[in-house]
Parts: sequence; structure tokens; C-alpha cells
Amino acid sequence: MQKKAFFLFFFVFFLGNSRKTCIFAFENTSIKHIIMELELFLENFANQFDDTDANEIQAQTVFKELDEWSSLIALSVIAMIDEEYDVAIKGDDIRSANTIEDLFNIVKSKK
Amino acid sequence: MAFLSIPNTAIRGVSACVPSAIEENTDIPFYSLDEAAKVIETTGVERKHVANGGITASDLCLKACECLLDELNWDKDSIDLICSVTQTSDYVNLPNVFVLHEKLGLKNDCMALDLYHGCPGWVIGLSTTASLLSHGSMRRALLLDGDVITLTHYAEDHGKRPLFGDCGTATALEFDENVAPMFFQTGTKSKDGGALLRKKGGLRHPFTLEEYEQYLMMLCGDKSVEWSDDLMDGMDVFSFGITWPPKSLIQLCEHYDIDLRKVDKVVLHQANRLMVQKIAKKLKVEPDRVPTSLLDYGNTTSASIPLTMVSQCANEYKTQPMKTLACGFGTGLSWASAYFETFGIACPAVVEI
Repeated sequence: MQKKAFFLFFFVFFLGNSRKTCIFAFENTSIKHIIMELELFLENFANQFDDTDANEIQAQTVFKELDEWSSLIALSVIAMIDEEYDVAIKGDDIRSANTIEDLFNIVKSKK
Repeated sequence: MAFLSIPNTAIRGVSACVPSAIEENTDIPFYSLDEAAKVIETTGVERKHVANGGITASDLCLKACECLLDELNWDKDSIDLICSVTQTSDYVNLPNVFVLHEKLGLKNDCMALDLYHGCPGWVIGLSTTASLLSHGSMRRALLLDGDVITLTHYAEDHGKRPLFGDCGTATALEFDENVAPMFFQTGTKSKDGGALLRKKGGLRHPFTLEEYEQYLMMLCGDKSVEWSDDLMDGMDVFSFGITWPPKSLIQLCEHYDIDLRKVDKVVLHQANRLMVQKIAKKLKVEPDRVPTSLLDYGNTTSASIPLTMVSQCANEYKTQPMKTLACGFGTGLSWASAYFETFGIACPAVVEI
């Protein structure tokens, strides 16, 4: 009888605990996921440039101020977003975004 | 859905005519050689044929048409329907179709139709002409399509000058009960029409005296005029072009059970190289099935599909049965996709005037 109670207690404790761990793990991955998504976006963004150092492409980079930024690069960014994220962004989206993270957020909001 | 299946109509021939004058993109004064190289790489355009010396769209279409009628050996009296598609008419009032009907010496007993359209124009014209022929009363039709678009562009327009060229085309169609139907899918996204818009000078927004002066100077070939009311939102058009045309072509294939793998050529409007490549990639069609005429002719607006067939694939169209998918897109914004089969058609080499 005692043994049974002990097992029951242990089982409930384990279940409760593992759920907590689960929630924690879930929150953790989703934050990680977003960071990874942004990093990947920055990498994809950097790939559209030939002469710009990838270090210059950061979340807070004001991309239209980059020397190499041009209307042609803008088109390849639109193509990249279409290809990698299946999102059709418009001229106004590029115009309204200031930093690369702004653009990333626009893409996310359209997904 | 705007799908259309048109029976009993065959394409018998396609031809194209360009002005003999050429502008090399490396010669454009506002580019350094480096800049020109970059623009050439992205657009895929090295040179364009440009109309000067008073050449109009009807001149180009007329020459293309005469050349095609010779090859087909068609009697002019056998033409029951003529359709002209252009956005650059010879006259303010008198649609080009009447100019062409007169110059070709067609009979009075002939229907004349003029369509004002942009880059999807050839496919729209094809669907309209084929549809009218399919009833069987009219037996032969000529579809004359093309623009002298460079005459309407400002020389300092960095977006347009390296990209556009002039061309006129002719397509011959005939009623025939023994051919496979042509299929079409068309669509309109007028909400985004502002991406390709020229407002000033029409009746809604007449020119001011100053603007009119600039416009006239541009028309007279003054290269120094910088003022322009010619809007082209390249980013919006690009985004539209890589989204809707491939969607439309895939829908067309699904709707009519067309096996994309068995299509011989996918002829896309030659907007620019990046766009053509992107659409081909989305369709998962190898580049050798997606011909392009951008290198030597540029974006020739609605003439670009027939010009690409004639300049890049004439031999195949002349000698083989061909299954073709085509898609024109742009102005509107709108698009028009077509599927048609041909069995050895007249396809004379590109002519010049």
C-alpha cells in the first residue's frame, strides 16, 4: 500500500516536473528560433551583395546607406524573400524599412 | 476564374520587324563602363533596336506582316479580321488598325479591332482574335502587335533607357476544325496599377504649358530633357512579376491538364533577365526551354513574346510540332497566359527597316 502511494506520488511529481521542463524548453527554443531566423535572414540578405563585407550586415544596419545598395540589389532582395520565405514584399515595404531587422519584421508579419 | 478554351483556331505564322538603328547599353552617356556592365548583367540587355527617323509602330507591324503574308502566300482578300495591339498609336485619333488595314490593302469586308494594352497585349490579342475566328464565319485573321515605346521615354530615364527596345510583329491565324484548342488564363490586379502609370498629358491630368514644352522637346529627340512623369515602380513590378505569372501558368496547366514537362517552349514576356530567370525557376523549367531575346532586343513590351519565338526558335517552329506556353504581364497590373500547339508554321527571320 505504502509502495503504491510512493509510486503514485513519484509519478505525479515526475509528470508535473517534466511538464514544467517542457514549457521551459519550448519557450527557450522559440526565442532561439527567432534569433536563428534573424541570423539566417541577415545571411540571406548579405548574400545579395558582392563587395560589401558580411560584417557590415547587422540587424541594426541602415541598409539603404550601404555603398553597394542599389535598385538592382533591391530586386535581388525581393527575389530572395520570395524564394526563401514565400512572401511577396512591395516597393513600399523596402521604402518604409530602415534597418534590416525592420525588413525582417515586415517579412515575418506577412508570413 | 478567367479561363478560356478556344477550339478550331490555328496559328499559321509569326514574324517580327525591328528598326535598324541600334543603341548599345555601353554607349549610354550616363553610365560609366562599370555601371553599364552591372546593368547589362542584371537586365540581360546589351543593345536594343530603337526607332528613329519617323518610324512608327504601324511601319514595323506592316513590314512584319508583308513578310509573313509572302511566306504564307496568303491572298490579301482572304483576310476577314485584323486586330492591332499597341500603346503607341500613329495618330491621336484613328486607331492603328485602320492605318494598317489601308496600307495592307485589305478588303472592305473585314472586321477591324484595335486594342490598347501593355505588355500582356499579344496574349490578350491572341485570345480575342482566336475567339472571334473560332465561330467559323471568318476564316483568316492577322494580329499585328508592337510598340515604338522608346519614342515615349525620356533620354535621362535611368530605369527605362537601358531596358526597352522597339518592335512590331505579325501573327497569322486561321479557322481549322482539326486542331487542338488554345487555352488561356488571364487576370487583373488593378489595385497595383500605379506601379506602371503615366498620368500627365491625358485628359484627367492635362499638361501645364511648361510640362508640355518638355514633353515636346522629348518627342523631338532632345536628349537633355530631364523632366519625366513616367512612373515605373520597378520593385512593385518585379514583385508582381515573380508572383502572379508563374501562379497563372501553373493554374493553366492544372486546369487543362497540360503536362509542363512536355511543353517545348515557355515563352515569357521579356521584362528583364532577373525576372525571366526567377519565373523559370519557380516553374522548375530548365533554361533551354525558356528562350530569351533580351540580349539583342531588350524589353520590347507586348511584342516580346512573338519576337522571342521568331528570333530564338524560328527553326523549331518552322520544322517541328511545338507545344508552347506563353505569359505576358505588366501594365494593369495584369497578366495573360496561353497554351497553344503548332505544327510547322511560317516563321521568317526578323526583318529590319
